[in-house]
Amino acid sequence: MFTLKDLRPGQKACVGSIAVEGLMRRKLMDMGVTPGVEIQVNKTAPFGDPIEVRLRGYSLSLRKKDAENILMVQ
Amino acid sequence: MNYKVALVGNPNSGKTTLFNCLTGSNLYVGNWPGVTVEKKEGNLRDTAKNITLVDLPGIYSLAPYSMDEIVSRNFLLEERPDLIINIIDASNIERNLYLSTQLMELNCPMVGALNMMDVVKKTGVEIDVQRMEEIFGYPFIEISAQKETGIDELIKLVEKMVELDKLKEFPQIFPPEIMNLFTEFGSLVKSKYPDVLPGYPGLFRTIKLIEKDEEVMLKIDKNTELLEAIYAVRKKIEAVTHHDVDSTIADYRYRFITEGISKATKKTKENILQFQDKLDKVLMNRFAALPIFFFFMFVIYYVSITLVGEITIGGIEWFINDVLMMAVATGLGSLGAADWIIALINDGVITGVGAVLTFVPQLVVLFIFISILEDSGYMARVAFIMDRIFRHFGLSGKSFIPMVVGLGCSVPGIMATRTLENERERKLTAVLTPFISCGAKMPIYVLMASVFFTNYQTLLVFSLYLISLTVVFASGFVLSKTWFKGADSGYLLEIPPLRLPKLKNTSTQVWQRTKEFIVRAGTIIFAVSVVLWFLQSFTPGFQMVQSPDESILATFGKIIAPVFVPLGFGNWVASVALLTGIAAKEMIISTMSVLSSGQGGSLTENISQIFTPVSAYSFVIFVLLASPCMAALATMKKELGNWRDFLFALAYQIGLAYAIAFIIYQVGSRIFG
Repeated sequence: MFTLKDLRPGQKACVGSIAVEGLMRRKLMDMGVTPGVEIQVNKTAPFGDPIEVRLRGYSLSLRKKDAENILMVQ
Repeated sequence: MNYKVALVGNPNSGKTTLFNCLTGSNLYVGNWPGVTVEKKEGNLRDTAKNITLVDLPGIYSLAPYSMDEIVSRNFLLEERPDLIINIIDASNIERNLYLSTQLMELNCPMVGALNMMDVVKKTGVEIDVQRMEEIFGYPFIEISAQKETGIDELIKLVEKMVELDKLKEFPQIFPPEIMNLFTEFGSLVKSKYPDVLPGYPGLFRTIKLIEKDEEVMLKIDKNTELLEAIYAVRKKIEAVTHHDVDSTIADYRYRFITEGISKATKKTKENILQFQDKLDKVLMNRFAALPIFFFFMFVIYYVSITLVGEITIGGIEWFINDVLMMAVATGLGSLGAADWIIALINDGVITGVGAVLTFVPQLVVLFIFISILEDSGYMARVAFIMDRIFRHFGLSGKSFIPMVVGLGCSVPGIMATRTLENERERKLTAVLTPFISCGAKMPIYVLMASVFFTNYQTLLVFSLYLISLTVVFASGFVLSKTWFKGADSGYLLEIPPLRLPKLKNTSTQVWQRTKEFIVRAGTIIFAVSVVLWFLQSFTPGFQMVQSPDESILATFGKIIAPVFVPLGFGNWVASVALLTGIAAKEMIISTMSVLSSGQGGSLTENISQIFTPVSAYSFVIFVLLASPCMAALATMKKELGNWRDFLFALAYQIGLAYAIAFIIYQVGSRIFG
């Protein structure tokens, strides 16, 4: 099992499940991070965190500690 | 018949630009999510009907996460508009339609405005609007709010749609087995709990109950039977889908959308915006990002303060002193006006208002730069870059946006904090934003710099901005561990594409901000200047003064002056200036001008007499950090929501300003004498 945090810039994979509860979970889903969607990591911020990803035709930035809870599948 | 039409869409989808197109008004637009934080109304143009258009804050969904989302949702639920114009950024159509699938549950007629079609066409995508209507169940129109195309067609469609009284049914988004569970639960609620949210549209109420939406839960908290029914239906859904309820509902919505747009859109060529990509790589480069940001800020202040200042200030002062005042003196003198009237006009009104207007060119240039920063999409990028740093100080990268807006004026800056979801971070940002120097404070720095630090003007002003940033971070660090304690809500921010700022947007924003500044000069500063002139021209016994030292104002100023002695500016002129500055920060300069004209001699001569370089620096630091003007205070009170936090913030801002000015003066005067 690997997470969104493990992807390097340029790599992509599909979301398996989201292992985070509460508000952040709902917000991620609203922003289109749902099981099955393909996400590509674009870049890491200059100070190493957050990361910018591309999904559903737009760019979203999130922190690594939240990316760590998004489980991915190939 | 008066119709109400709501403009609803995602943040940064171009809602405000479209609102301006549809109403002909000039609201404020920026390229970062969350520009509209309060609803605004206007009348639809070019129509014989009476149609009020309401611009709602941008939202990603109908879930109530942040205050602006609650504003939008409550409006749609409680005021029930006659029509919704759902604006959709067609260059980001998938995510934008997610909100549409929720709006479709409100039982309200809807029109889809596919915005930014000019961008979409450039990237080689075609959208079949006829197909879109068949799939989503409501009509779509292709527009570009920026290029103003498709607007007339949209207005015509709105006119037609508000008249229709029969609502066409929206298509079903969820598969039959899920829909049956929804319907079953919906009729249970309707028959057994008719008092639960009776005004809410049926399907919306059902889904929000099943989702255990926070706002909805608050309204049914004691109803254990209903809670059990919700628990039961959630179990059933999970049994059917083998997934939890939240991801199931979001997942079906997105599936409906991807399926729909795969039928209705066609990609004719591959076209990636390469230039933007390259620019983005440079702006967000690991090593260059921060230097580039500081370079931009330095250039902004160098150009607006030093360059523009050198060109304009001399000329404007010459016009005010040597042309205008001479004309008033000779003109009114020849008409036989009394000396005191000429003095009132010249030494009161023209001096006071003129002192502020002198800085208009510099502010215009500053506002142009800020507006370009906002329009280009660079702000969201800086929030992204800064998040790592801001997090250590109890804030998030998103706190940065209100602060950059605060460079223009603290009032919209404080209001922009509403886009932050977390209450603690929001309040903290609202308290810290006034520490960022607003445009109205800039003239004070420029004046002091031109008198005492002639060769280092930009450097001095830049040092002030560094100090204010330091104060923001240090205060964030301390307050997030003391007064505003609590968990952070996380950070999730859309990064909009880089856009070339549009001349029209920039000029609109610059004009609005400048206009506000000039209007204040013509009203509040005009009035206070007149009052000040009287107070400094008469003694407490209402005799004309021989010397301003005997005036009412001086008597009063001398009472409070001792407070500022330890800071190095314990004279009555500075004290009175600080007091009038509470009305508006530009007043500080106006007050000093009016008072020095009463004492004879120019403003700069008088300033160099009552200040030393060290006390001047201490004075600007105090002005920079002490509590903001009345308008900003009122906004801060509104956003904090209670007196306790507000009074604390006030005490904190004034106390900190006093302490830092004290240290600077005491240390500085020992080093430099």
